[in-house]
Amino acid sequence: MTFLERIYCGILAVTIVCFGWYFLDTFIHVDINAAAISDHVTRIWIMFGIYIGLTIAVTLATWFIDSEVEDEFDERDNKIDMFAERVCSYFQAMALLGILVLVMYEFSAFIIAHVVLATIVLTSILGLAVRLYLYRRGI
Amino acid sequence: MVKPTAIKNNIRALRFAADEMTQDALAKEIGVTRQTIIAIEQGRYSPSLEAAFKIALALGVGLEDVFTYAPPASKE
Repeated sequence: MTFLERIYCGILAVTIVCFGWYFLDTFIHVDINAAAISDHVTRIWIMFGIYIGLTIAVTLATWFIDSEVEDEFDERDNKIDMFAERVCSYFQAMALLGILVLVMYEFSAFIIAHVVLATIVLTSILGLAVRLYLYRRGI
Repeated sequence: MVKPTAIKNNIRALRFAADEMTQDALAKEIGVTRQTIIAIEQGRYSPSLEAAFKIALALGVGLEDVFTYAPPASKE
């Protein structure tokens, strides 16, 4: 497994745990139809802070553990990156259409904000998963 | 989702013929990662033309000695 793959695995795990916890907690403890987004701003910022901190920690830990990092970003990495970005762009386009439908039907700002957040998170997870798949299975 | 490449190669055999050159040494010589060399050897990745020439040069043989193209069988 290359250094890049280890980083992707670490960030994927952090993303799933961090945002998975946030969405579970939100949908279990909050009445999403009555909640106001302004009541949850602090929570969202804290969660973002934890996510950024953990991502940096995972990257640094992988860097220190892998003391013989000599891998460079080469043409295959580039190709894999482009393919993953293309898959993500299709997903984002579909999600944007879904968000537009939510806006047209006047869903609450709380729901729309969380669907936007879910789109960002799922795009990130999809991009990382596609990259890891292509590193293992080839392109 | 990922189609196997139609380009076959003899890199593994040629590496052993070239003083048992390691994948790591070949990767360093042509400026890619060892994982890329593994993927090329296993037919999971078709290298760029430039990388293909560099591989041939590093192994001291012609391009056609390293890579061969096996076109997919016609449906007719």
